[in-house]
Formats: sequence, C-alpha cells, structure tokens
Amino acid sequence: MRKAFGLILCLLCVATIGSFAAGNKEAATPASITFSVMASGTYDKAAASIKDSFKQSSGIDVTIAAFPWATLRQNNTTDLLTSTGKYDIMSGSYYLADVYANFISLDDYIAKYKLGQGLLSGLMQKCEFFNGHQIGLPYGPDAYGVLYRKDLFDQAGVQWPSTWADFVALLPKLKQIADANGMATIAFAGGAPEQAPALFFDKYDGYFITKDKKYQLQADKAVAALNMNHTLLSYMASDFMGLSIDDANARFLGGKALLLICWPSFVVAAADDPQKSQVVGKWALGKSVTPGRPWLSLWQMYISKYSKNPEAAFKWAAALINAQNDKSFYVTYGIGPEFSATYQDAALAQQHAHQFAAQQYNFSVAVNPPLSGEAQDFFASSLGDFALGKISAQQCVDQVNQKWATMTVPVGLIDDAQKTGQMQK
Amino acid sequence: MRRRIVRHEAGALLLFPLPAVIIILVAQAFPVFYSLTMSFRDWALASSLTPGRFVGLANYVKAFHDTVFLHAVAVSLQFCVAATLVEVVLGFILAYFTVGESRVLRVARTILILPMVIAPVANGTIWRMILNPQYGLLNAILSTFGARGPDWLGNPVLALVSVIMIDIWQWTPYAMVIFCAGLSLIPLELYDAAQVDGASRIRVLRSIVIPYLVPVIFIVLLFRIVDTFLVIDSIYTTTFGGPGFSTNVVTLYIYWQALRYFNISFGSALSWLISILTLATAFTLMRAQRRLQSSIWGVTS
Repeated sequence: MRKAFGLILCLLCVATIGSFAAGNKEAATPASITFSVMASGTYDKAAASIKDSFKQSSGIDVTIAAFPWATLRQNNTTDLLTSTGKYDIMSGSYYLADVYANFISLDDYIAKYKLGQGLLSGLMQKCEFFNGHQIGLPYGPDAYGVLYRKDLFDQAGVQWPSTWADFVALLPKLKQIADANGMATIAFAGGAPEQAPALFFDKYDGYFITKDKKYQLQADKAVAALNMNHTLLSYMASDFMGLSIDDANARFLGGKALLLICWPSFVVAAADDPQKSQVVGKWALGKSVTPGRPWLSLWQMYISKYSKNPEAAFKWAAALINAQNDKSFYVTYGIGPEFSATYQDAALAQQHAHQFAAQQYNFSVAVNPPLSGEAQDFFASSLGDFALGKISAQQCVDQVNQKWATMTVPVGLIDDAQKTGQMQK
Repeated sequence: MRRRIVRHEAGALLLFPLPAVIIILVAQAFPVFYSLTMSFRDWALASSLTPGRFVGLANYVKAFHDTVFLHAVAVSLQFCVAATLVEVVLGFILAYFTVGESRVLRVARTILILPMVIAPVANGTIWRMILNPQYGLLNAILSTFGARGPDWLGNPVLALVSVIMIDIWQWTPYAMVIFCAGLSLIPLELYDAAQVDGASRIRVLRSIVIPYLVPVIFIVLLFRIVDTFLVIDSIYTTTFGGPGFSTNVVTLYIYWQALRYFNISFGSALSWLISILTLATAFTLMRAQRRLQSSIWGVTS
C-alpha cells in the first residue's frame, strides 16, 4: 500500500513539474505562424525577403511553406477540411470557393489596422467575400496578357490592336515578321494544362452562371471565342503544347518568339534584366483587347479559422502589403504593384513606360472567373482537347455545359459573378 | 513426437497474433468497409463535415454516365495492356540472358534493377526533364542523328506512349527479378537431358522453360496488371493527365474526385468499381493459370 502511494506521489510530482515547464516554455516561446505560398520564385522569395525584419519588429516567427500551384491548392484545402490548422495564413484565390467557410472574416482586422489605404481603386472589392464579410487580402495582382516585340512592331509599322478581330486579322502579317526574324509568332505554355482557360477568358464576355445559379457557358459567345482561338492556335509555336510556363517565357526572353501570352509577373523582371534576357528595351506589354475579360490572378491571403494565432497572421499580412514593399517587390521580383503610389512614382513610370500603363489598365478590366476548382479543372482539360483538335468548338462547349450541369456553384462565387457581370441577367 | 496443445495454451497462443489482427482490422478492414458505406451516401466534404443522406446506387449510376470516368477507364486499359505486355516479354528476355552466377551477370542484373529502386515521383520528374521538347536529353540525342525530336508530352498519342514507356523503364526490372528467380529453380537435370536428346535452344525454351515458368508468368502478369491499372505517380508528375484528357487514367480521376474536390461518396463509388474490376481480372487470371497448368502437366496446381 505504501509502495503504491509512493509511486502515485512520484507520478504527480513529475506531472506537476512537467506542466510548469510546458507553461513556462509557452510563455517564453515567441508567436510563430506558417504562411503557405506559391513556389513561383517571385511571391515566395518576396515573402522570404521580409521574414527576418518582420521577426525583429514583431517577434513573430514566420515559416514560409512554398509549393507549386497545384500542390498549394491541394495542401490548403486538405489542411482546412481536415481541421489540421497547419497553415495559419494561406495564399489562394477564387478557386478556394469550396472552402470559404473555413476562413475568418477580416473586417475587424482591416478596420483596426487601417489596411487597404492607398491600394488601387476597387482592388479591395475584387477580393473574396463570404456572407458579406471580406476574407481575402490582396497581394500580387496579375492579369494574363501579351508581351510583344515592340521594336519589330515599330519597324514593320504595326500598331497594337484594340479588338480580337483586329488581332486575328493581323496574324498573317505578324507571322511574316516572325518568319523574317527566325522566331515563332506566339509562345504560350500549352504544356501547363491549367493555363488553357487564359486563351478563352480574354475573348469571352458571356456568362458563366445562369439565372437559376447553375454553371453554364453562353453557347454562342463561347463558340465564337473558341473559333477565334482556333485561328490563334494555328500561329502558335509548333511545340506549344509541350511548353511549360518557364519554357514559353524562356523562348520570349531568348528572342525566339514575337509574342508571349503569359502571366506578366512571372517574366517582366527577367525581361528587363540583361543577364537573363536578350530582349531588354525591345518589348512592351500589350493593352488588353476586347471582347473578353483577362484572367485576373489576384493572390490573396486568407486566415484559417483553425489558426491558433490569427492576430499574428494578420500582422504578417499587413507587413507584406504596404507601399514600400509594393515598390521593391515590383522592382526586384516583377510582382504586379497594387498601390497607387507605385504607379505615381515618376522615375519608376519612366523606367517601366513599356508596361506600366498597360499593366494598370489590364488590372482594371481583369476579373476572376466564378469557377470552383472542379469546374475550372474540367474546363481546362476540355480546352486542352479543343487545342489538340480532338473536339470542335461546339463539342467543347457542349461537353463543358453537360459536365458543369452536375456541379454545384459555391455560394461565394455567385456574389462574385453578379458583381463582375458574369452571371446571366 | 508431436506435442499436444492443451486448451489453455491454445488460448494463449491465439493472443499472439491478436495485435496484428487488430491493426489490420482498424487500418485496412474498417476503411474498406467505411468507403463501401460512403459510396451509398451523398457526401462532399467541402459542403459538410458529416456524411449526407443515403442515396442507394446513385453514385454508381452517376459513374456509368460520367464520360470522363469512362474515358479514364479506357485510357487505363490501354496503359495496362501495353505496359504489362512489354514488361513481361522484355523482363523474361532480360532474365533469360542474365540468369546465372558469374560476376558479369550479377553486375548486369544489379545495373538493370536500378530503375526499380527510384521513387516513382522522382522517376516521373526525371523523365519529364528527359522528354522536354526544347532542352530534353532524348531530343538532344535524336538531334545528333539529324532527327527532329517530337513533342513527347504535348502530343496526345505520344504523351500516352511516353508514360507507358516510363512505366516500362521502371518496372521491367521487377519482371526480370521474378523471372530470374523462376529460371534458377528449373532443375539442371532437365537441361542436361534435353542436351543429350539434342534439343535446340528454342525447343528447350518452348518445352522446358516456359512450361516450368507458367506460375511465375501468371504472378508477374497479375502484379503488373494490378499495378499498371492503378498507376498515378508517374502520370501526376509528367503530364498531370494531359494534354486534354489524353493521359487521364482512372486512378488520377478518382484521386481528383476524392481528394482534390473532396467528393468523398462519388470517389468511394469509383474506387469500388475499380476494385471490382481489378479483382475480377485477378480471379480470371488465376483460373486461366489453373487451366493452363492442368493442360500442360495434367495437374491442377
């Protein structure tokens, strides 16, 4: 009996000492959060560049978890749906609509920290909302666009077109210029299956969601957009279906393509760097042409409702989004600026005259398509089959509409579609 | 002398495998049974954390009307048939010429086995670089012969051929290893007797080696059919199912449905359909093996 009593006493002592130690440790340990971000070589590097200074100023230790796009989306979603809470603050966009309910409202934080002042007009409204509350904070906006060889355009007396009809009519002339210079007319990352919708979105101004809140493409406009793409595809580099984003960008940077259809933020910094580019001073960003809405990549930071430290997560977001970083991230990494001050910087505007105005305009007209991850994946694969010539434009639209009819539109995206005119009236 | 196991000893002995049995039940039997029950319900994890209502066979009916799933099954079958046939034939040829105990043969076998020990994801990533149309090793080699290499992963037919080729490269050694083991078990006296009778190499192969290897051939076939039908890693890392739907195999589609879009019920139903198809193939192969062996040797095992 005495032996058992002694044993219990010992165990209690050990447990008490252990709990004190754990308590002290918790009190002494600085706050730490994990930020998930795309391993693009731009956003992740930008975040890493302020990590140490942020820790010094706030005492918060940030772990940057960088993944390729597809993996990032998967990891974020899995983390939320399994209530793991591994990532306190996540990078994403509209394709996370299925899991919006797992993010906290940022309204109070935005008001408390006065975040959003000085941002481009309307940018905060383009962020994601759920049940009327803002859940995403913008960083790194980008609009799918076309980089072109301005020097060769000027030499041939060719003006940048304002409509897709003009663009298509210009293609034979552009091919002549490209052939004369031993380059492909258009480079595009056809080998990255998720990029295929970019060629459609910027030529389609129809709806994606019907009045009764079902996914559907407006058949006549969708077929017209695809037929225009059909012509465009015939002018692409012969191996475009095998090109990754880096391959396509490298082709333009190496002076092997007249046009590059791309995410500009992935390439503009390199294009102006003589160490990485043979087209320094020779290129420009084209202003978005009509009809259609360029694909907006509005990276946003969302705070998980499973985060143990949402306040620290928001502080990190606030540290990342400010006018000073905006300018330096643009200059260093080519990340699209989102503060008006950056665009008003006279020296910067002069230095980047070949893209600034077009970039600002493209942001203003670009929108996020109101597609869930599943709807977009299926759409992208169908467009891949169309690009390969396996199905016609009409078959592609029918196939997409048939499959989309079986999918549910996430609530958050219905509001987005209404705001951006992508819902049937 | 055989010791009689008394009743209390038998009880104690039964306790020994109990932990393993519990682990198997919890880790394997429960998920399998749970996925079966989920396949009859309506549950998308993104909409609800708890399973929805009972929907009977609705998910199975949906699967048979899902053109993407049916196309994925067709792609998987093409992949499975092409990869398995080449792996088995090539594996046998390699085994036949490398079986033996000399140092040269042992080194040759070791080198040939190397692809099998590379992680499939790493393997896919390496091959994606090799097959790059612009900077890839394969097209660089072709260009030294004056040939312009094709766009391996951008062309729908070549993309499928490429992923099959990757599987063959990685898993032919597996067939070779099993065949080597089978070949080394054939009694040497049979070869000696055949030599005395003046049998040619082809005759030895046809009348001794192949009949003796029938069970081994079927084991290799069984494993490779199941493995190739369930391939995902190399396709995920090289083509991600593209271009278009060209290499969208059934496992990748199930993965998307269940773990990318979190359509748990539909994903479970698709998994069960594929499990049934795979099991049916396995049973058919086992029956075919028994029949073939019986016709060769006049016995059933």
